Amino acid sequence: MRGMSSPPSINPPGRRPTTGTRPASLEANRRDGAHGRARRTARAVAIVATGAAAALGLVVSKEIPGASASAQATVSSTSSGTGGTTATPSSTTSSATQNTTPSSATQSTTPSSTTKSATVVSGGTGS
Amino acid sequence: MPTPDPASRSMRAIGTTAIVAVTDPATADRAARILRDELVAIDRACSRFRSDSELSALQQANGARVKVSPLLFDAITVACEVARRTDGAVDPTVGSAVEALGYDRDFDRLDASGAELCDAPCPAPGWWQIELDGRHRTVRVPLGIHIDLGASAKALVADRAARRIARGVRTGVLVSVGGDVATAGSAPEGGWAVGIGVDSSMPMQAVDQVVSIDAGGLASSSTAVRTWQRGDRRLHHIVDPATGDCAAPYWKLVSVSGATCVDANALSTATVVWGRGAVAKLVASGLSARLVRHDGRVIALNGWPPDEGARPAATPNGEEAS
Repeated sequence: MRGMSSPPSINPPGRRPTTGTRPASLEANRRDGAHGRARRTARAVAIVATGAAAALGLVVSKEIPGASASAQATVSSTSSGTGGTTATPSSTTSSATQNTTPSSATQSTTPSSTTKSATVVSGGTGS
Repeated sequence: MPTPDPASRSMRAIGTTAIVAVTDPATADRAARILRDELVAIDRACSRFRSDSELSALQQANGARVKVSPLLFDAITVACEVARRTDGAVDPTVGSAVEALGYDRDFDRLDASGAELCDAPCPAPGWWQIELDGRHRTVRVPLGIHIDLGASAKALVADRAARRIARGVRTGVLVSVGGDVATAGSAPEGGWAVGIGVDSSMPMQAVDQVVSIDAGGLASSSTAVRTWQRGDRRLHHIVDPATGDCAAPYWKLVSVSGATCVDANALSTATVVWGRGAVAKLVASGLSARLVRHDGRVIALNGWPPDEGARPAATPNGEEAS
Protein backbone atom coordinates (compact mmCIF):
# COMPACT_ATOMS: atom_id res chain seq x y z
CA MET A 1 0.00 0.00 0.00
CA ARG A 2 1.21 3.40 -0.82
CA GLY A 3 2.26 5.52 2.09
CA MET A 4 0.05 7.86 4.02
CA SER A 5 2.26 10.84 3.58
CA SER A 6 -0.52 13.40 3.43
CA PRO A 7 -1.80 14.53 6.80
CA PRO A 8 -5.52 14.06 7.19
CA SER A 9 -8.00 16.80 6.75
CA ILE A 10 -9.67 17.47 10.04
CA ASN A 11 -13.26 18.52 10.31
CA PRO A 12 -14.24 20.79 13.16
CA PRO A 13 -15.13 18.69 16.19
CA GLY A 14 -18.59 18.35 17.58
CA ARG A 15 -20.79 18.17 14.52
CA ARG A 16 -21.32 16.58 11.20
CA PRO A 17 -18.86 17.82 8.59
CA THR A 18 -20.20 20.82 6.78
CA THR A 19 -21.52 19.84 3.43
CA GLY A 20 -22.77 23.16 2.19
CA THR A 21 -26.26 23.77 0.94
CA ARG A 22 -27.87 20.56 -0.05
CA PRO A 23 -29.74 20.71 -3.32
CA ALA A 24 -33.48 20.68 -3.01
CA SER A 25 -33.61 17.63 -5.20
CA LEU A 26 -31.62 15.68 -2.68
CA GLU A 27 -33.73 16.88 0.21
CA ALA A 28 -36.81 15.75 -1.62
CA ASN A 29 -35.23 12.40 -2.12
CA ARG A 30 -34.57 11.65 1.52
CA ARG A 31 -36.87 9.28 3.29
CA ASP A 32 -38.17 8.83 6.79
CA GLY A 33 -34.92 8.74 8.67
CA ALA A 34 -33.58 11.99 7.32
CA HIS A 35 -35.03 14.11 10.06
CA GLY A 36 -33.72 11.77 12.69
CA ARG A 37 -30.31 11.96 11.15
CA ALA A 38 -30.28 15.73 11.28
CA ARG A 39 -30.65 15.60 15.04
CA ARG A 40 -27.86 13.14 15.55
CA THR A 41 -24.17 13.47 16.16
CA ALA A 42 -23.84 16.54 18.27
CA ARG A 43 -20.88 14.92 19.97
CA ALA A 44 -19.19 13.51 16.99
CA VAL A 45 -15.76 14.24 15.76
CA ALA A 46 -15.02 13.15 12.25
CA ILE A 47 -11.53 13.14 10.99
CA VAL A 48 -11.49 12.08 7.41
CA ALA A 49 -8.17 11.15 5.97
CA THR A 50 -8.91 12.04 2.42
CA GLY A 51 -5.26 12.35 1.61
CA ALA A 52 -5.08 8.66 2.29
CA ALA A 53 -8.10 8.11 0.09
CA ALA A 54 -6.36 9.84 -2.75
CA ALA A 55 -3.25 7.79 -2.15
CA LEU A 56 -5.44 4.74 -2.53
CA GLY A 57 -6.57 5.84 -5.91
CA LEU A 58 -10.01 6.93 -4.83
CA VAL A 59 -10.21 9.63 -7.43
CA VAL A 60 -13.83 10.19 -8.20
CA SER A 61 -13.40 12.22 -11.28
CA LYS A 62 -16.67 14.05 -10.92
CA GLU A 63 -18.37 14.97 -7.70
CA ILE A 64 -21.54 13.01 -7.43
CA PRO A 65 -24.49 15.38 -7.80
CA GLY A 66 -26.30 15.90 -4.59
CA ALA A 67 -23.24 14.93 -2.66
CA SER A 68 -21.29 17.30 -0.53
CA ALA A 69 -19.95 19.69 -3.11
CA SER A 70 -18.45 22.05 -0.60
CA ALA A 71 -17.19 19.56 1.92
CA GLN A 72 -14.13 20.73 3.73
CA ALA A 73 -12.03 17.71 3.04
CA THR A 74 -9.94 18.19 -0.03
CA VAL A 75 -8.73 15.24 -1.98
CA SER A 76 -5.09 15.85 -2.59
CA SER A 77 -3.49 15.05 -5.84
CA THR A 78 -2.00 11.75 -6.74
CA SER A 79 -0.41 10.51 -9.86
CA SER A 80 -0.45 6.86 -9.08
CA GLY A 81 -3.91 6.15 -7.91
CA THR A 82 -5.99 4.84 -10.71
CA GLY A 83 -3.62 2.80 -12.71
CA GLY A 84 -3.24 5.52 -15.26
CA THR A 85 -6.88 5.93 -16.13
CA THR A 86 -9.52 8.43 -15.39
CA ALA A 87 -12.96 9.10 -16.75
CA THR A 88 -13.42 12.77 -17.58
CA PRO A 89 -11.11 14.56 -15.20
CA SER A 90 -11.48 18.06 -16.57
CA SER A 91 -15.21 18.28 -16.13
CA THR A 92 -15.45 18.80 -12.40
CA THR A 93 -16.10 22.19 -10.93
CA SER A 94 -16.58 21.24 -7.31
CA SER A 95 -14.32 22.52 -4.62
CA ALA A 96 -13.78 19.03 -3.34
CA THR A 97 -12.04 17.82 -6.44
CA GLN A 98 -10.65 20.84 -8.15
CA ASN A 99 -7.21 20.23 -6.73
CA THR A 100 -7.14 16.69 -7.93
CA THR A 101 -4.49 16.13 -10.51
CA PRO A 102 -5.78 13.82 -13.18
CA SER A 103 -3.89 10.70 -13.96
CA SER A 104 -1.67 10.74 -16.97
CA ALA A 105 -3.58 8.64 -19.46
CA THR A 106 -6.98 9.52 -20.83
CA GLN A 107 -8.41 6.19 -21.81
CA SER A 108 -12.15 6.26 -21.89
CA THR A 109 -14.07 4.30 -19.32
CA THR A 110 -17.31 4.54 -21.26
CA PRO A 111 -18.34 1.03 -22.27
CA SER A 112 -18.91 0.26 -25.91
CA SER A 113 -20.86 -2.42 -27.68
CA THR A 114 -19.04 -5.60 -28.52
CA THR A 115 -19.75 -8.91 -30.09
CA LYS A 116 -17.04 -10.64 -28.09
CA SER A 117 -17.89 -13.30 -25.55
CA ALA A 118 -17.87 -12.01 -22.00
CA THR A 119 -14.90 -12.78 -19.79
CA VAL A 120 -16.81 -12.03 -16.60
CA VAL A 121 -20.31 -10.98 -15.60
CA SER A 122 -20.96 -7.77 -13.73
CA GLY A 123 -24.18 -8.07 -11.80
CA GLY A 124 -25.51 -8.28 -8.31
CA THR A 125 -23.11 -10.09 -5.99
CA GLY A 126 -23.64 -13.71 -6.81
CA SER A 127 -22.38 -16.81 -5.08
CA MET B 1 1.37 -13.24 -35.10
CA PRO B 2 -2.11 -13.24 -33.54
CA THR B 3 -2.49 -12.00 -29.99
CA PRO B 4 -3.35 -14.84 -27.63
CA ASP B 5 -6.72 -14.74 -25.94
CA PRO B 6 -6.70 -13.61 -22.30
CA ALA B 7 -6.35 -16.37 -19.75
CA SER B 8 -8.35 -16.41 -16.54
CA ARG B 9 -8.44 -18.06 -13.13
CA SER B 10 -11.27 -18.08 -10.60
CA MET B 11 -11.48 -18.71 -6.90
CA ARG B 12 -13.96 -18.58 -4.04
CA ALA B 13 -13.39 -15.83 -1.50
CA ILE B 14 -15.27 -13.46 0.81
CA GLY B 15 -18.57 -15.18 0.12
CA THR B 16 -18.46 -14.86 -3.62
CA THR B 17 -16.43 -15.72 -6.71
CA ALA B 18 -13.34 -13.79 -7.76
CA ILE B 19 -11.89 -13.95 -11.25
CA VAL B 20 -8.64 -12.65 -12.68
CA ALA B 21 -8.04 -12.44 -16.42
CA VAL B 22 -4.73 -11.42 -17.97
CA THR B 23 -3.68 -10.50 -21.48
CA ASP B 24 -0.49 -12.55 -21.16
CA PRO B 25 -1.58 -16.13 -20.47
CA ALA B 26 1.84 -17.02 -19.10
CA THR B 27 1.22 -14.74 -16.13
CA ALA B 28 -2.18 -16.13 -15.13
CA ASP B 29 -1.00 -18.21 -12.19
CA ARG B 30 1.13 -15.43 -10.74
CA ALA B 31 -1.77 -13.03 -11.12
CA ALA B 32 -4.08 -15.49 -9.37
CA ARG B 33 -1.66 -15.74 -6.43
CA ILE B 34 -1.61 -11.99 -6.06
CA LEU B 35 -5.40 -11.81 -6.16
CA ARG B 36 -5.67 -14.56 -3.57
CA ASP B 37 -3.22 -12.72 -1.30
CA GLU B 38 -5.29 -9.56 -1.56
CA LEU B 39 -8.53 -11.39 -0.86
CA VAL B 40 -7.10 -13.16 2.17
CA ALA B 41 -5.76 -9.86 3.47
CA ILE B 42 -9.01 -7.96 3.03
CA ASP B 43 -10.98 -10.76 4.69
CA ARG B 44 -8.66 -10.82 7.71
CA ALA B 45 -8.81 -7.06 8.00
CA CYS B 46 -12.40 -6.18 7.16
CA SER B 47 -14.75 -9.11 7.70
CA ARG B 48 -17.57 -8.41 10.14
CA PHE B 49 -18.30 -12.14 10.27
CA ARG B 50 -14.92 -13.35 11.50
CA SER B 51 -14.31 -13.08 15.20
CA ASP B 52 -10.57 -12.95 14.51
CA SER B 53 -10.71 -10.13 11.98
CA GLU B 54 -9.11 -6.81 12.70
CA LEU B 55 -12.46 -5.09 12.25
CA SER B 56 -13.98 -7.32 14.95
CA ALA B 57 -11.16 -6.34 17.29
CA LEU B 58 -11.78 -2.69 16.52
CA GLN B 59 -15.48 -3.13 17.29
CA GLN B 60 -14.61 -4.70 20.63
CA ALA B 61 -12.45 -1.77 21.68
CA ASN B 62 -15.39 -0.13 23.48
CA GLY B 63 -14.98 3.15 21.69
CA ALA B 64 -11.25 3.44 22.32
CA ARG B 65 -8.82 4.71 19.72
CA VAL B 66 -7.04 1.79 18.08
CA LYS B 67 -4.00 1.61 15.84
CA VAL B 68 -4.91 -0.49 12.84
CA SER B 69 -3.19 -2.00 9.84
CA PRO B 70 -2.69 0.10 6.72
CA LEU B 71 -5.24 -2.05 4.91
CA LEU B 72 -8.04 -1.63 7.45
CA PHE B 73 -7.26 2.05 7.74
CA ASP B 74 -7.47 2.41 3.98
CA ALA B 75 -10.68 0.40 3.76
CA ILE B 76 -12.41 2.54 6.38
CA THR B 77 -11.03 5.71 4.82
CA VAL B 78 -12.37 4.72 1.42
CA ALA B 79 -15.74 3.80 2.92
CA CYS B 80 -15.98 7.20 4.62
CA GLU B 81 -14.93 8.98 1.46
CA VAL B 82 -17.59 7.11 -0.51
CA ALA B 83 -20.14 8.10 2.15
CA ARG B 84 -19.09 11.72 1.90
CA ARG B 85 -19.28 11.75 -1.87
CA THR B 86 -22.72 10.13 -1.91
CA ASP B 87 -23.95 12.35 0.91
CA GLY B 88 -24.40 9.31 3.08
CA ALA B 89 -26.33 7.14 0.65
CA VAL B 90 -23.57 4.55 1.03
CA ASP B 91 -22.52 4.62 4.67
CA PRO B 92 -20.24 2.16 6.50
CA THR B 93 -22.12 2.63 9.79
CA VAL B 94 -25.03 0.50 8.60
CA GLY B 95 -23.66 -2.55 10.42
CA SER B 96 -26.38 -2.64 13.06
CA ALA B 97 -29.05 -2.01 10.43
CA VAL B 98 -27.86 -4.91 8.32
CA GLU B 99 -27.72 -7.17 11.36
CA ALA B 100 -31.23 -6.13 12.41
CA LEU B 101 -32.44 -7.18 8.98
CA GLY B 102 -31.04 -10.63 9.61
CA TYR B 103 -27.81 -10.46 7.60
CA ASP B 104 -25.60 -11.34 10.54
CA ARG B 105 -23.34 -14.05 9.14
CA ASP B 106 -21.69 -15.10 5.90
CA PHE B 107 -24.38 -15.08 3.25
CA ASP B 108 -23.70 -18.74 2.50
CA ARG B 109 -24.70 -19.55 6.09
CA LEU B 110 -27.75 -17.30 6.22
CA ASP B 111 -31.12 -19.03 6.46
CA ALA B 112 -33.00 -18.34 3.27
CA SER B 113 -36.20 -17.90 5.21
CA GLY B 114 -37.10 -17.24 8.81
CA ALA B 115 -39.52 -15.69 11.24
CA GLU B 116 -40.74 -12.15 10.86
CA LEU B 117 -38.34 -9.48 12.10
CA CYS B 118 -39.17 -8.15 15.54
CA ASP B 119 -36.95 -5.11 15.71
CA ALA B 120 -37.64 -1.79 14.06
CA PRO B 121 -35.19 -0.68 11.37
CA CYS B 122 -32.06 0.90 12.75
CA PRO B 123 -30.94 4.04 10.86
CA ALA B 124 -27.18 4.41 10.43
CA PRO B 125 -25.57 6.61 13.09
CA GLY B 126 -23.49 8.32 10.41
CA TRP B 127 -20.06 7.82 8.93
CA TRP B 128 -18.84 11.15 10.25
CA GLN B 129 -18.77 9.74 13.77
CA ILE B 130 -15.84 7.51 12.86
CA GLU B 131 -12.57 9.16 13.81
CA LEU B 132 -9.66 8.54 11.48
CA ASP B 133 -6.20 9.82 12.24
CA GLY B 134 -3.96 9.30 9.24
CA ARG B 135 -0.87 10.57 11.02
CA HIS B 136 -1.00 7.86 13.66
CA ARG B 137 -3.10 5.41 11.64
CA THR B 138 -5.67 5.11 14.36
CA VAL B 139 -9.40 4.66 14.23
CA ARG B 140 -12.03 5.28 16.88
CA VAL B 141 -15.47 3.86 16.43
CA PRO B 142 -17.86 5.21 19.05
CA LEU B 143 -19.52 2.64 21.25
CA GLY B 144 -22.62 1.16 19.65
CA ILE B 145 -21.65 1.87 16.07
CA HIS B 146 -21.13 -1.20 13.94
CA ILE B 147 -19.24 -0.93 10.70
CA ASP B 148 -20.07 -2.83 7.55
CA LEU B 149 -17.50 -2.41 4.80
CA GLY B 150 -19.31 -4.73 2.41
CA ALA B 151 -20.37 -1.96 0.08
CA SER B 152 -16.90 -0.72 -0.78
CA ALA B 153 -14.41 -3.41 0.27
CA LYS B 154 -15.08 -5.70 -2.68
CA ALA B 155 -14.50 -2.86 -5.08
CA LEU B 156 -11.42 -1.76 -3.16
CA VAL B 157 -9.84 -5.18 -3.28
CA ALA B 158 -10.57 -5.43 -7.01
CA ASP B 159 -8.82 -2.11 -7.60
CA ARG B 160 -5.89 -3.01 -5.36
CA ALA B 161 -5.38 -6.43 -6.90
CA ALA B 162 -5.62 -5.16 -10.48
CA ARG B 163 -3.05 -2.43 -9.86
CA ARG B 164 -0.71 -4.77 -8.03
CA ILE B 165 -0.92 -7.41 -10.76
CA ALA B 166 -0.36 -4.89 -13.55
CA ARG B 167 2.68 -3.51 -11.75
CA GLY B 168 4.12 -6.76 -10.47
CA VAL B 169 3.44 -9.09 -13.36
CA ARG B 170 3.43 -6.49 -16.11
CA THR B 171 0.32 -7.61 -17.91
CA GLY B 172 -3.02 -6.18 -18.79
CA VAL B 173 -5.44 -7.42 -16.18
CA LEU B 174 -9.09 -7.55 -15.26
CA VAL B 175 -10.18 -8.52 -11.76
CA SER B 176 -13.77 -9.28 -10.84
CA VAL B 177 -14.83 -9.74 -7.25
CA GLY B 178 -18.47 -10.74 -7.13
CA GLY B 179 -19.13 -8.80 -10.30
CA ASP B 180 -17.28 -5.64 -9.29
CA VAL B 181 -14.70 -5.23 -12.04
CA ALA B 182 -11.37 -3.40 -12.06
CA THR B 183 -8.87 -3.23 -14.89
CA ALA B 184 -5.26 -2.11 -15.08
CA GLY B 185 -2.55 -2.13 -17.69
CA SER B 186 -3.28 -2.47 -21.37
CA ALA B 187 -6.57 -4.02 -22.36
CA PRO B 188 -6.72 -6.75 -25.00
CA GLU B 189 -7.59 -5.73 -28.52
CA GLY B 190 -11.23 -4.68 -28.55
CA GLY B 191 -11.24 -4.19 -24.79
CA TRP B 192 -12.36 -6.40 -21.94
CA ALA B 193 -15.75 -7.94 -22.64
CA VAL B 194 -18.01 -7.77 -19.60
CA GLY B 195 -21.44 -9.34 -19.48
CA ILE B 196 -24.16 -7.38 -17.73
CA GLY B 197 -26.74 -9.43 -15.88
CA VAL B 198 -28.69 -9.47 -12.68
CA ASP B 199 -26.43 -12.04 -11.01
CA SER B 200 -22.66 -12.09 -11.36
CA SER B 201 -22.70 -15.88 -11.06
CA MET B 202 -25.13 -16.38 -13.95
CA PRO B 203 -23.99 -18.20 -17.11
CA MET B 204 -22.35 -16.00 -19.72
CA GLN B 205 -25.02 -17.01 -22.22
CA ALA B 206 -27.77 -15.60 -20.02
CA VAL B 207 -26.53 -12.02 -19.67
CA ASP B 208 -28.61 -9.07 -20.85
CA GLN B 209 -25.80 -7.41 -22.72
CA VAL B 210 -22.06 -7.62 -23.33
CA VAL B 211 -20.05 -4.40 -23.27
CA SER B 212 -16.40 -3.64 -23.71
CA ILE B 213 -14.21 -1.50 -21.47
CA ASP B 214 -10.55 -0.72 -21.95
CA ALA B 215 -9.82 1.05 -18.67
CA GLY B 216 -11.15 1.83 -15.23
CA GLY B 217 -13.79 -0.10 -13.38
CA LEU B 218 -17.35 -1.29 -13.75
CA ALA B 219 -19.67 -2.27 -10.93
CA SER B 220 -23.24 -3.44 -10.64
CA SER B 221 -25.70 -3.48 -7.77
CA SER B 222 -28.91 -5.44 -7.68
CA THR B 223 -31.86 -5.73 -5.35
CA ALA B 224 -32.78 -9.07 -6.91
CA VAL B 225 -29.88 -11.19 -5.66
CA ARG B 226 -28.45 -11.76 -2.21
CA THR B 227 -32.00 -11.78 -0.85
CA TRP B 228 -33.61 -13.64 2.02
CA GLN B 229 -37.09 -14.03 3.46
CA ARG B 230 -38.23 -13.02 6.93
CA GLY B 231 -41.92 -13.55 7.53
CA ASP B 232 -43.67 -12.28 4.45
CA ARG B 233 -40.91 -9.83 3.55
CA ARG B 234 -38.31 -10.41 0.88
CA LEU B 235 -35.19 -8.57 2.04
CA HIS B 236 -32.06 -7.65 0.15
CA HIS B 237 -28.61 -6.52 1.16
CA ILE B 238 -28.60 -2.87 0.06
CA VAL B 239 -29.63 -0.77 3.04
CA ASP B 240 -30.75 2.83 3.00
CA PRO B 241 -28.68 4.36 5.80
CA ALA B 242 -31.33 7.01 6.43
CA THR B 243 -34.00 4.46 7.32
CA GLY B 244 -31.98 1.41 8.23
CA ASP B 245 -34.30 -0.63 6.05
CA CYS B 246 -33.72 -2.24 2.69
CA ALA B 247 -33.62 0.33 -0.06
CA ALA B 248 -36.90 0.47 -1.94
CA PRO B 249 -36.49 -1.86 -4.92
CA TYR B 250 -37.16 0.72 -7.61
CA TRP B 251 -34.12 -0.52 -9.54
CA LYS B 252 -33.51 -4.18 -10.16
CA LEU B 253 -30.01 -3.75 -11.53
CA VAL B 254 -27.71 -0.75 -11.81
CA SER B 255 -24.36 -0.87 -13.63
CA VAL B 256 -21.92 2.02 -13.68
CA SER B 257 -18.47 2.50 -15.19
CA GLY B 258 -15.89 4.78 -13.63
CA ALA B 259 -12.24 5.59 -13.30
CA THR B 260 -11.95 2.93 -10.62
CA CYS B 261 -14.11 0.10 -9.37
CA VAL B 262 -14.61 2.00 -6.11
CA ASP B 263 -15.96 4.98 -8.03
CA ALA B 264 -18.30 2.79 -10.05
CA ASN B 265 -19.46 0.82 -7.02
CA ALA B 266 -20.15 3.97 -5.02
CA LEU B 267 -22.54 5.24 -7.66
CA SER B 268 -24.18 1.92 -8.48
CA THR B 269 -24.96 1.34 -4.80
CA ALA B 270 -26.04 4.93 -4.21
CA THR B 271 -28.34 4.74 -7.22
CA VAL B 272 -30.23 1.85 -5.66
CA VAL B 273 -30.61 3.87 -2.45
CA TRP B 274 -31.57 7.07 -4.28
CA GLY B 275 -34.31 5.23 -6.14
CA ARG B 276 -36.21 7.13 -8.79
CA GLY B 277 -34.35 10.36 -8.14
CA ALA B 278 -31.07 8.79 -9.14
CA VAL B 279 -31.38 9.29 -12.87
CA ALA B 280 -30.80 13.02 -12.85
CA LYS B 281 -27.87 12.59 -10.48
CA LEU B 282 -26.31 9.99 -12.74
CA VAL B 283 -26.77 12.14 -15.81
CA ALA B 284 -25.07 15.04 -14.08
CA SER B 285 -22.24 12.81 -12.87
CA GLY B 286 -21.15 12.10 -16.42
CA LEU B 287 -20.45 8.46 -15.61
CA SER B 288 -21.91 5.92 -17.97
CA ALA B 289 -24.65 3.81 -16.46
CA ARG B 290 -27.28 1.24 -17.29
CA LEU B 291 -30.33 0.93 -15.07
CA VAL B 292 -33.01 -1.73 -15.11
CA ARG B 293 -36.25 -0.86 -13.39
CA HIS B 294 -38.22 -3.54 -11.64
CA ASP B 295 -40.73 -3.49 -14.47
CA GLY B 296 -37.89 -4.44 -16.82
CA ARG B 297 -37.46 -1.07 -18.47
CA VAL B 298 -33.83 -0.35 -19.32
CA ILE B 299 -32.24 3.11 -19.20
CA ALA B 300 -28.80 3.75 -20.69
CA LEU B 301 -27.11 7.00 -19.67
CA ASN B 302 -24.05 9.04 -20.57
CA GLY B 303 -22.90 6.98 -23.49
CA TRP B 304 -23.64 3.52 -22.17
CA PRO B 305 -24.52 1.52 -25.29
CA PRO B 306 -28.25 0.81 -25.53
CA ASP B 307 -29.51 -2.73 -25.41
CA GLU B 308 -30.14 -4.17 -28.81
CA GLY B 309 -33.52 -3.02 -30.07
CA ALA B 310 -34.17 -0.81 -27.06
CA ARG B 311 -35.91 2.53 -27.40
CA PRO B 312 -34.80 5.51 -25.32
CA ALA B 313 -36.11 5.35 -21.79
CA ALA B 314 -34.74 8.65 -20.56
CA THR B 315 -34.36 12.12 -21.95
CA PRO B 316 -30.92 13.73 -22.09
CA ASN B 317 -31.64 15.63 -18.89
CA GLY B 318 -32.44 12.47 -17.01
CA GLU B 319 -36.23 12.43 -17.04
CA GLU B 320 -37.56 8.97 -17.42
CA ALA B 321 -39.77 8.29 -20.40
CA SER B 322 -43.15 6.92 -19.45
